[in-house]
Amino acid sequence: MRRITLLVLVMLLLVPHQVIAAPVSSSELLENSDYYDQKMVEFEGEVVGDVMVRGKNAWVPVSDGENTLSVWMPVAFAKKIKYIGRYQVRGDKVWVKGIFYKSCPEHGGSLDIHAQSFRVLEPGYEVTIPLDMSRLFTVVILGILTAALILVNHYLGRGYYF
Amino acid sequence: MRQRKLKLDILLIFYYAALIIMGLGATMLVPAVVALGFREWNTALDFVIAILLSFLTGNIFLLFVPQEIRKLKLSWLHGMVAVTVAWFVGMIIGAVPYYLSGFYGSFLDAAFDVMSGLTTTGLTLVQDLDHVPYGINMWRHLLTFIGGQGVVVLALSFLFRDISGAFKLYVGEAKEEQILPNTRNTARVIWIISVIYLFVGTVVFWLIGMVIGLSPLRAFFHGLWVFMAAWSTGGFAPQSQNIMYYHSVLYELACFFFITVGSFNFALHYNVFRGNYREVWRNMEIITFFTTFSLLFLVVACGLAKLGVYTGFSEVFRKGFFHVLSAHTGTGFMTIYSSQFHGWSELAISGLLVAMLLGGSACSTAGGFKALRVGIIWHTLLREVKRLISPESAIIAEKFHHIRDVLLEERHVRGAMLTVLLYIVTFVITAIIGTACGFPLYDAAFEAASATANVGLSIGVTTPAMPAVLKVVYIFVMWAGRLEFMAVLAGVAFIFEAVRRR
Repeated sequence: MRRITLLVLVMLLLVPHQVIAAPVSSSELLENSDYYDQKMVEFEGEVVGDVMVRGKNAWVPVSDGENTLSVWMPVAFAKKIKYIGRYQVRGDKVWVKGIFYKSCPEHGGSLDIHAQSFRVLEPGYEVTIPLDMSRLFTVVILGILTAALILVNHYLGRGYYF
Repeated sequence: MRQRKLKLDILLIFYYAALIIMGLGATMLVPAVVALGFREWNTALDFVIAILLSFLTGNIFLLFVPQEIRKLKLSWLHGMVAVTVAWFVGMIIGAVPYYLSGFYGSFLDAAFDVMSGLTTTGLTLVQDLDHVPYGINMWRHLLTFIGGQGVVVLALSFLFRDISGAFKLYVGEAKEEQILPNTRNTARVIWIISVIYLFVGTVVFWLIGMVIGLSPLRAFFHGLWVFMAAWSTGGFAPQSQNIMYYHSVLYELACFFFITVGSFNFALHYNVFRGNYREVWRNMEIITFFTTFSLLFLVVACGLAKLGVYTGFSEVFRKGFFHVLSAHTGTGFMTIYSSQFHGWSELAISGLLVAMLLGGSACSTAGGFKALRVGIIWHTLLREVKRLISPESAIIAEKFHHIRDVLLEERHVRGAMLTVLLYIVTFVITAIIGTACGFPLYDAAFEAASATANVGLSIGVTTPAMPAVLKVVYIFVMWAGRLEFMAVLAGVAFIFEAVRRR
């Protein structure tokens, strides 16, 4: 009986984590974190913020537009990332396959994904935002009005000088 | 005669409100310069528009105020109402660059975030925070830093020359302790203490940021912003994942330290700066804070253990301890997602809710009941128990230590009880409104406590999709809670009186 129990335990340990096919959204993962806990999931999104290298691994924040999830991956994967999403930068769109942890024991209980496969789906790019002339025009008009009013107040003896 | 008196009151209130608004507008030069530095041209223009609007508004107010009225002495009513008006108009003007940035769904959302920043709450309606320009992030955190110390404190320190009755403006912003005999010097002491900590804190976070893998420039700005939010017990962070983004024990430990000291009374800081270290161990506020914090952490830890949410020491420390401290200091930093609170037991959530309502110290950047009032109520209870067990002829005197030994008087008890009562009533009404808007009672109560006590922890109610009426209610509640009700009540009373006199 003991041997059978031991055999079952060993088999359970050897069985790979249950795989959830097709990318899952961050909202789905957050709302059903109990279900996905410690299962293999696929997740897609834009790399945002910073790639934080910690020894042989790195933290990569990936946003699918609903939420940003932290992905813990080998530096070799992280090195494939060329664009990180910020203001005026659209980050690389990446695909990650890894184990989802609702409360990761390795990282102080954080919710994260430990990547086992990684691919850049679409490279990022810089976004050029041209100078908005209507804003510039508003500044000029407001500047003239404010300066005029300050002068009027000064003339009437009602100004205030810091 | 009464009409003329009312007119004089209004003009005097608008005069001081104008100065505070222009002062707030001038501070937008900082994010404007940051935006220029990062070549965010449109963001820089948005700030210039808001600066000009603040000076235009201020000068329109000044146009109607003759010099002789400016020399009139401020009454308590003037001080309170001027602060209320300044905060309200400041919210509108401060929201202009937010709204123009395109990262807010509506002007109401932008105004919500300004009020949340100024009141050091930390609830946010910003969309796509991970792509927000440096200039906007600078303004979000600067607002929190200014709000923590106080807009009026800023104006008193650097803008106003000679004001008769400055103390009334200062008190209007819920800072009652006069550290030095002169109000202006008191305001300056508050800023000197804050700027010293700003320098030390930014360097600490900057170094940790570089150690954990941020580039030096990113580490500097993240360090500056996170420190501003920590010291002001604000709760904003530059990334959507808040403090969880960094995945660093060191970063979290630095947050522990700065949110704790940020929630201490400025009078205590001043005493420590002068070498009176014993005050830390003797001060009633500190004793009260650590007692209630320990008890509530025990409650939350039991609640987490009950459902086995976090089992290891590291997890309980980094999630349980962190959020109790974040709640009790009124900070609102988070290392989990809002929706994860639903996985916590009701016991743990109740512990957090009470911690949020209790808040930090009086005359600090924190909100809530404040440890001083909780301590006073505790001493009152002790006094009454002593009275019960003593002979009828006995005179019972209760003392507490806060900077000096203070004899517990009825005015202390009345003040503490009244403010706590107002907080509780506001919290209950806000929770009921949240429930009426369709949220479960527990969620509505959690968010109501967070908004009323200017904390910023969210269980998921505060999103751009929440009903507009709830946004307006939260704006009002954050505002009233930060000014500790009296200034807002004075404003309402003033308007009521003005309407009645017409």
